[in-house]
Amino acid sequence: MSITIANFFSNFAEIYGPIFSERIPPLLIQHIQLVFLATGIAILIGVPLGIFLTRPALRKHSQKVLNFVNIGQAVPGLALIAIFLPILGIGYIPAVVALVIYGLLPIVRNTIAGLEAVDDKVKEAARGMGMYNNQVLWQIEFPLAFPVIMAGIKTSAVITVGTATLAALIGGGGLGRLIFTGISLFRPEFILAGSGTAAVLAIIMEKGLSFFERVVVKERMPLDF
Amino acid sequence: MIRLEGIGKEFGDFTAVKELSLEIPEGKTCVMVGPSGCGKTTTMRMVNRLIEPTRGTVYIDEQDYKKKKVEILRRDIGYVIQEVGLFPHRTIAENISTTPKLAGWDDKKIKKRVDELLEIVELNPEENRNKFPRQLSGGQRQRVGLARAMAADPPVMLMDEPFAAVDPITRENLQNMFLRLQRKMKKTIIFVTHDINEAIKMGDQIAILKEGELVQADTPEELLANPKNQFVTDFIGVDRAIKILDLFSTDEVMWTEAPVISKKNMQEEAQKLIEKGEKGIPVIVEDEQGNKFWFDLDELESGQSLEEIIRPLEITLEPTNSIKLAMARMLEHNNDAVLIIGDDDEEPGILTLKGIRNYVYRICASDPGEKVEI
Amino acid sequence: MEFLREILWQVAPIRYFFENISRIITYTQNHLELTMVGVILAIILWVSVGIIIYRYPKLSHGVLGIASIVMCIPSIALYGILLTLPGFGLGRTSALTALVLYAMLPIVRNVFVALRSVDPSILDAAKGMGMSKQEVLWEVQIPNALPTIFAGVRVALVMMVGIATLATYIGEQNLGRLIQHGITRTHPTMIIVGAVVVSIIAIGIDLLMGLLGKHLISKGLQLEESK
Repeated sequence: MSITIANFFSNFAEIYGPIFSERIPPLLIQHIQLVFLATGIAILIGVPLGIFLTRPALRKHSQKVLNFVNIGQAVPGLALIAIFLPILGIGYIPAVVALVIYGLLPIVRNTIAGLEAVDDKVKEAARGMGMYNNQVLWQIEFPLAFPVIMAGIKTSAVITVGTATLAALIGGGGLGRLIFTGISLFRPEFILAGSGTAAVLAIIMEKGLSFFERVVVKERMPLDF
Repeated sequence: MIRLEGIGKEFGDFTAVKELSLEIPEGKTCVMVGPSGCGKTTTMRMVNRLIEPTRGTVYIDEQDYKKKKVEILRRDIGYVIQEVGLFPHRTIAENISTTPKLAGWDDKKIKKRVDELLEIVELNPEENRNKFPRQLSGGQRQRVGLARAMAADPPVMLMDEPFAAVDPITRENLQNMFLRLQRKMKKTIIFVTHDINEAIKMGDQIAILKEGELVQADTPEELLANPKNQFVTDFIGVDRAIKILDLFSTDEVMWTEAPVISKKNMQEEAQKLIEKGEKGIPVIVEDEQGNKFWFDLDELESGQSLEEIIRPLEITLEPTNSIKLAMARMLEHNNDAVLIIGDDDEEPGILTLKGIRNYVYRICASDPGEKVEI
Repeated sequence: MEFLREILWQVAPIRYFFENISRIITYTQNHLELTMVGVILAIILWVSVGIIIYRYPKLSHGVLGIASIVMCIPSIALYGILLTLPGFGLGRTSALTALVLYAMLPIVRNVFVALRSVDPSILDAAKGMGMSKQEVLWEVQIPNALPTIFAGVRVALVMMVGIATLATYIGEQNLGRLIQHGITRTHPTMIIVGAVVVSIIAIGIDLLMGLLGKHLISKGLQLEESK
């Protein structure tokens, strides 16, 4: 028994050792870069866009935008990535663009939903106390909507980790490369190593952001699970 | 008849109800009242076993209720709660037919019963049958809640603050409607409230609870006249005297044997009454046109002439009116007596301010625990 | 009319679509078959699990925790992992298993949350009128929780349509195949047709579920609360 277990581990180390020491690190770094870059840009575009769309002048259109965003979220990730291939061609930039667009949706949606959910009476009270519109926004609306916006960012980041595995298909690199190589060559160890790492990365991302969320929001408002 | 026998409930270390025994006669309404946390709702919920008693049992029509399957027991007990608890996914008609369906009535009978019940709770069946609860106002919902509880005509009903969630005007309407219904239905009811005024209005019997114990169970009249201790007195409130006014009817306080004298000879006839040894009674004076006046025999001692003393007796009320109404009318007209005229075979009476004052004072001046005959 | 056809024929994706219509129909059938079987299995399994953790709330934390971890795993990674497991491999078993697993979070969580948030006074009234535990569950709780449960199923189904696309890499002959082959052959028209068709189907199913919900859910629950 002990021999088989020892064998197993030595086999395991023999097979997976080189994969994890040589193949994974550059791909993992690439993957993380993709995710951070895409999510960062998505936040920089999505949050201001959401704020913009909830201002009085545009507020009546925000429901339409939400409907559009919801429809956009129904588009499969592979379809979205693929559709950019004929337009932008192959490479890192097209991959980032596709990821940004896909990652935008939950951020815009939650920013709008979070700001819309702020009680009108609270805003009215703030205005009644003599706040300017931008003071109402930054001192009242934004802090109250923050938990919801943060939840949107979390969803976006986790989705992007997943969608980024597909970036490999259009030459964007990342852990997907190892997985797809494994599938086409049928090398289970490649598939498992790539898939496992991607899964762990996504889970770490989710847990990390949940932790950040709890610290920042100080458990003031219960969110979803 | 419902008989609670030594019923009690503990939640862990906390004793919600100690050992409570109480009997509610057939067809009567027992109102359980007390401050929050006194165990009134717990006691009520033990009667349909939504809370299982830790000790003791309940007899319904002399049968130990634990012998019945709990679902079957509950189907024979109408249940009305403050939040109403209508099923939002079902129409008004479907809501009302819940218990009849559970009891397996046929559709035709159910349909007829639903319309009948809607009429009883004063809602138009045509208009409301197919509506959903969310389309109704709070008062209408509680009417449907009542209809639903009465659907299978249960002999017993439990009502947990049924009228507490609606505005005062709607509450009064619902209370009056329910009193009218109960006069006909004669169900045996346990009614929980924290509002002593509601208790006095709705109850044939009031049970005051404190910290899981029964402090006093009596008719409202007994309770107001003879509060058992300081707690009950306090709970009834500083305006106990006013509540008494509301609760007692004029025929309980009026004089039925006031002498009637003619205005022409009033001086002599009054003198005769004094010679007969009468004292401190109201005397009615009637002139030839039938106009009535009155005075109190004691007032003659002031030396004023009767001409100056007598005042018109111009307000007429019925024997079933409350003393409070009589007071109100007197204050409005700056009078100090009213004439009480009932049916032909009833003797007319006179209710004076002095009479009310003495009556209420006699009740209120006694110490808690001291017996006052009423 | 003829002229219009001529013009449309010049648009490569449209021409490709009609030239390959029978293949696309087969792919669509396979795609829908996989998703439908998946969603039915998912409803049976996860609604039951949702009810169980509602009845035994101690289990809820663990079960929902697992569900949210599964949800995090990139879909190609989950396919990849299943592919290497004995008994799964290339083909429908792996694809179905992955789809059902992804449906866990939206369905279980929504069932659990929905059952919990049914107004307690409604349940009190139901019990007080003599309904048994089963009657309360099926006649009162589930119908009242249906809007939220249905929303969960809808999210799951739309997600499944998307994730099924990737199953082409583990041997499913579905709409993902057009995208897969389009990429490997650098055939943009194929990619566009594949991506557009699958997106239209996903959006269509989403809208269809919206309509279905309106019929399935009691009108009484879709009304605004009156004052």
